[in-house]
Amino acid sequence: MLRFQRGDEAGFRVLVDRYRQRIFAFTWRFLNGSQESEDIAQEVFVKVYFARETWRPAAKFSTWVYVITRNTCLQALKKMGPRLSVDSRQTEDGRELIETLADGNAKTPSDHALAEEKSRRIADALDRLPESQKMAIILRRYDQLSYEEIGEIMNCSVQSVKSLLFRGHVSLKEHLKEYFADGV
Amino acid sequence: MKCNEVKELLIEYLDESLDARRRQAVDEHLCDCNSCRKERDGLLSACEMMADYQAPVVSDQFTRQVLQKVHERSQKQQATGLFDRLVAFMSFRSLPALASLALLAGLGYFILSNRSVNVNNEGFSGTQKIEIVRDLKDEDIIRDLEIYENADMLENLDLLVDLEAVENYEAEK
Repeated sequence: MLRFQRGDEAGFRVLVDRYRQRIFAFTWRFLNGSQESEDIAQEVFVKVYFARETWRPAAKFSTWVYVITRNTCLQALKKMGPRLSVDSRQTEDGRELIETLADGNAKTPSDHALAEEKSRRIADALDRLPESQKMAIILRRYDQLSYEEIGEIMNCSVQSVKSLLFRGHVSLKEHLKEYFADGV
Repeated sequence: MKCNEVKELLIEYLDESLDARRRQAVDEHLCDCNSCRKERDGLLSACEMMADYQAPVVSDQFTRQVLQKVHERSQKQQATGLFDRLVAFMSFRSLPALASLALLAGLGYFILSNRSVNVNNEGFSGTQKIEIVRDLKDEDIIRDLEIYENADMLENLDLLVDLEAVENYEAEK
């Protein structure tokens, strides 16, 4: 990032390659598998490019990128509306993105169906959470960030992060309870 | 520890983020409390299930597309920037000149539309009015000049008329 800030454009390319999967995965989960997730993730890096002068070396670069990602996703959510339609999760050939994921791990058709069902339930359960709880859970559970880092990104205290995680997990447990009960 | 305190710490407990003292306290409570154990097991199942929710792999074209968007936006910003600078330049630099021009034009119009002709009042008595000619036509100006040039004659004409009247009166007598 320092190289890029000093004008080394190749440094920007390296940054994009290094962080693209992480940022895309975050936007994908936060926006409930929306087809626009990749566009939004690209937008994050475009913003990083034009805001490079505002980054201070004292701050962790990944935290700074996540802040931009968070703000970009929240803006996108406002534009998309409170709930994404099922269609927005479909790929160009009409299949749901969640189906394509399930295919990767499925060995038999029934495995495929189970995996698909599981992914859909998780996505729906996450989507039911308030934005702040969903964001905290994604950052903790999937991005493996510390409570302090999550607090910096979400601009709240560590205690608030813990509270969000607790309430979010309790809600998820309730939403996924039927799935456990089915023993699937 | 009480159940509500333990339940609030369960996520940190499962994350192994608790300090040793509190971890031990939770462990001891869970040994004795069936309700909190059930709560822990439910949260653990949810966390394990969440781990299976994998995001797809980003496309190979991602970086290229980002660079493309950066390039397009840079060009757009340059074009907008040039236009903005041009407008600012025109507004800023030309403002005094435009203001002066407007002032001169207004003044000129005012002067031309309200033009006054100074009457040469040599030969006039101080009690006589100075006539202001408003019409700019040449013939009017000339006529006025002739009148003023002949003012003495007009004055004398009155005298002549009076004299003639007197002469006629005396003649009739």
